[in-house]
Amino acid sequence: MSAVPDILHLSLVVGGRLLDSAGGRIGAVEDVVVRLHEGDYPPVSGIVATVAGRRVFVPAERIAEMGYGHATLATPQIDLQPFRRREGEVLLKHDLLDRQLINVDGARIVRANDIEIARVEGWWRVVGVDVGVRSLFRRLLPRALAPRIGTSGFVDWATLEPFTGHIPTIRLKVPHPKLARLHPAELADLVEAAPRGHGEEILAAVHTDPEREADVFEELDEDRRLELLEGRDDTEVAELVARMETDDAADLLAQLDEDQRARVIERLPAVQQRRLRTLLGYEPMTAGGLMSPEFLTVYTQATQAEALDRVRHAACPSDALAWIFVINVHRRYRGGVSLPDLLRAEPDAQVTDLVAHTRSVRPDSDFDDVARVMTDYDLTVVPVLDDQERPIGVITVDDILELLIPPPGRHFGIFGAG
Amino acid sequence: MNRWKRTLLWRRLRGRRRRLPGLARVFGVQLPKLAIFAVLGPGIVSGFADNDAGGITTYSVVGAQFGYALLWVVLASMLALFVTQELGARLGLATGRGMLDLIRENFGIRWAALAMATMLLANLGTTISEFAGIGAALSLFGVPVPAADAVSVVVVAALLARGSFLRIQYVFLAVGAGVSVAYAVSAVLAHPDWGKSALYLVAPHGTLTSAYLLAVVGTVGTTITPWGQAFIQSYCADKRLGPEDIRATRADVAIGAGLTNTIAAFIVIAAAATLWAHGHRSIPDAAAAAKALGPLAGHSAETVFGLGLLGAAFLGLGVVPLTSAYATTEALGLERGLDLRPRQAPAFYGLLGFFLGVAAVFVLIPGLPLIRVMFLAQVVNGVLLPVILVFVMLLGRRRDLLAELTSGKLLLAVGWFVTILVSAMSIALVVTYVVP
Repeated sequence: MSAVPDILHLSLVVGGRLLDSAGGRIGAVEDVVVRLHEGDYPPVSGIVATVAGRRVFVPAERIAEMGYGHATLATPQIDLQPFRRREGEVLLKHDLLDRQLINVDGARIVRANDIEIARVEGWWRVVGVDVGVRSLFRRLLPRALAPRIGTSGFVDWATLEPFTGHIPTIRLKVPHPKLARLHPAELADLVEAAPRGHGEEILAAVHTDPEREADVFEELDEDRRLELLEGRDDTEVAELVARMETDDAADLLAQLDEDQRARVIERLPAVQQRRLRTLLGYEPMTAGGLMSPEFLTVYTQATQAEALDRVRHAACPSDALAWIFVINVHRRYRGGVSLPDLLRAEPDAQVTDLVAHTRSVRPDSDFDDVARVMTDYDLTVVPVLDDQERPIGVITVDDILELLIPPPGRHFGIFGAG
Repeated sequence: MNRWKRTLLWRRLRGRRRRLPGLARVFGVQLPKLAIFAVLGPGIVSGFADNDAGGITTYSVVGAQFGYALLWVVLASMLALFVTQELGARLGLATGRGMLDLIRENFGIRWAALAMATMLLANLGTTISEFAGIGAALSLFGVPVPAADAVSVVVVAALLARGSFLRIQYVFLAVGAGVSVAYAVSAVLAHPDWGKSALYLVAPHGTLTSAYLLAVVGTVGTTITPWGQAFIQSYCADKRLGPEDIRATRADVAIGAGLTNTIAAFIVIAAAATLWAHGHRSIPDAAAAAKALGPLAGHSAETVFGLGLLGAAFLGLGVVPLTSAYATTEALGLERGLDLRPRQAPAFYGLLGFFLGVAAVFVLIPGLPLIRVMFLAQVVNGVLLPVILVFVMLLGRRRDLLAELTSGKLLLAVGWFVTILVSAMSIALVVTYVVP
C-alpha cells in the first residue's frame, strides 16, 4: 500500500498524471470538481483531466486513489465525457484557489493559498484551506520537494464562505448561509474591508432579510453606504431607509444629493417623512443633528403600572427605553425616570415622584455642551427640548461615544487616506 | 459608523485645518468632481513621482548627451504613459483590486511570483536611485554621502512610522514641481533652438547606437514604471473609485501624463541648450547637471538643483518602497498598511525595511558614480517593464473583469503597440550588451 497522506494539498494533486488501473499514463489532472453546498464539507464529484488533448470529466466513483502527482482510475478504460459545468459545482483550482474567502470565525477576509482535501466518511471532501505563506513555497518549489512543506495556516471549511460572484454555476437563493452567524457590525466591517464587488456579494447574503440589511447599513460608514446604494432605485433606497433607525437614516439621507433625497423622502411613510425632515434641518454637530426622535413619554398623572405598560408596548429601540420622559398636559418636559427606578417602585406610585433629573439640552446646543451635561450629571440619555420645552428627541450615550473614537485614517488601504 | 461626524469632531478637537482634499471626501460632500480631482488625483501624483530623482537626472543626462535628438521619445512616452496608466486606472476602478492581486487570481501563483520578482527588482533599483539622488543633491552642499544617507533613512522611516508620509507627500511634490518650473524658465532663458525642438519632438532623430538605445530605454523606463502601474491601480482601488468615475479618472491621467512629460521636455531642452550646446556632453556629477539651470539661477544653480533633486528623491522614497511592500503583501494575502504595528504586519514592514536598508547600504559603496547609478536604475526599470506591461494588457481585454471598461479596439491596439515597442527596445538593449 502506498503511503497516502491524510490531507492532500490541492496544488499537488492538480498537474499530476491520470493513470489507468494498470498504472499506465492516460492523461493529466487539471482540476478537482466539488459540489459546493452539499454538507458541511463539499464532496468531490470528480476531476477534470486532459486526455489526448481533450478536457474530460472523470466522476469520483471511477477514481480508485488520489495522491500527489497522480490519480488512479478504478477501471482499465475510461469513457470520455467532455467536461461541462453542472449546477452547484465549482472547480477548486479555477474558481477558489488564490482567491479570497470570508473566515466567519473572526469575520476576516483570507486568501486560499492552498486547498486541503481529505477522506471524510469514505469520500474525498474539501476540509479547509491553507492561508499560510509557507504553502506558497510549496507551490513554487519543484514537485520533489513540495510535499515536505506542511500546512502552515489551516482554516476549517466549516467557518469559511467563498465568494462565488465569478462562478457561473453557483446561483443560490440564500447565498453564504454561514454569514448569518455574524453580527451586523461584523458584516459591516467585512463589507468595508472587501473590494467593491465582494462587498456587494456580502450584502446580498442579508438582502433576503431587510431588517438585518438595515442593521448592517446602520453600521457601515457613509462612503460605503453611498457606494452600495448606487445600483438601487429610489423605492429600494426608501425601503431600506424606512427600516433604519431614524438618526442613522437621517445621516444617510444627508449624504444623498438633494434631488435624490427629495425623491426618497417622498416614498417614505408620512410619520417618518416628518421626523426625517425635522432632523435634516439641524447642523450635524449640534444636539439636533445628534438626536434620535424615537423615545417614550408619559403624562404626569401616570402611575408606575401604566408607565411600565407603555414600556412593554413601545415601538422604539430598547436602548432609548433606558429612560422615559415625563410631560405635562401641554407636552412640557417635567423630568426623566430611569427604567430601574421605575421597576423598583410600587405599581401605584406616581411617575412624577420617580423623576431623577430634569436636565435637558436645546437642539442648537453644541456637541461639547451635550457631552458636558451628560458627563456632569452621569446621564446615559438626555432629552432635547424645543422652544416650548417640549421633548423632540433624545441623545443616548452611544451617540456620543462613537464620535470619540478617532476616525479610521487609512481604512481603505494606504492610499485611501489621501 | 458615523465617520462623517466623527471626522468633524476630531478635526475640531485637534484644532487642525482641514487636510488636503482626499477623493473619497470630495465625493462624499459632492463638490464639483472634476475640478479638485484634476488637481490632486492619482494620475497627477503618479506622474510627478515619475519625475523623481532618477527622472530629473535621466532627462538631464539625455539632453546633455544627445541634445534635442531624443525629444521624440519624450512625446512618445507621454502617449505611452497615458495609455498604460489609463489601463491601470481602469483595472482599479472596475475590480477594486491591486495589480499583483489581479495577476495572481487570473494567471496563478507562478506568474504572480514572476511579476512580483520583476516589480521588486525594478523598484529596488528605483529606491537605490532615490538614495543616490539624495547623496548627489547633498554633496552639492558639502554633505558627505554616508551622512546624507543615514539622515534620509531616519527621516523617511520616521515619516512612514508616523503614517504621515501620505500627508506631506504634497510638500515634496511641490518642491519637485517648483524645480521643474525652474527648468522651464532656464530652457527659455538659454535661447534654445525652438524650431529644432519642435521638429525633433515629432520626428525621431539620431543614429541608432547602443548608447542611443540605452538613453531611449532609460527615458521610457523613468516615465513608465512597474511601480507606477501598481501605484495607480491600488490608488484607484483604495479610493473606492468605481466605473462611474472613468471620465474624471481619464482626465486626471491625461493631465498627469501631459504635465509630467512637458516638464521632462523642458529639462531635456534646458540641458541641450546649455550643456550640449557648449560641448559638455557627459554629466559626471551633480554639479555638472546643475549647470543646465545656469541661465536662470546663475551661481545659485547648484542650490536650486540640489533642492529639487532632494524633494524629488524624497517623494520617490516615500512612494516607491511603500507601493512595493503594499502590492506584494496584498497579493500574498498578508496583513499590511501603515496603521498597523510592525508586529501585526511583519511582512509589510519587513519589505519596507528591506528596501530602505538595502538601497541605503548600496549607495555607500565607495567611489560609486551616483549620477550614473541613477541613470542605470531607470534602464533596469525599462528592461523589466515589458513583463508587467504584458500582464496588464492581458488583463485589460478581459470582459469578465472590466465589463463596460474593457479596452476597446483602439486602446487595445495602441496598448499592444506600446508594449511590443518597449519590449523590442529592451531586448535590443540586452542583446547589444551581450553581443559586443
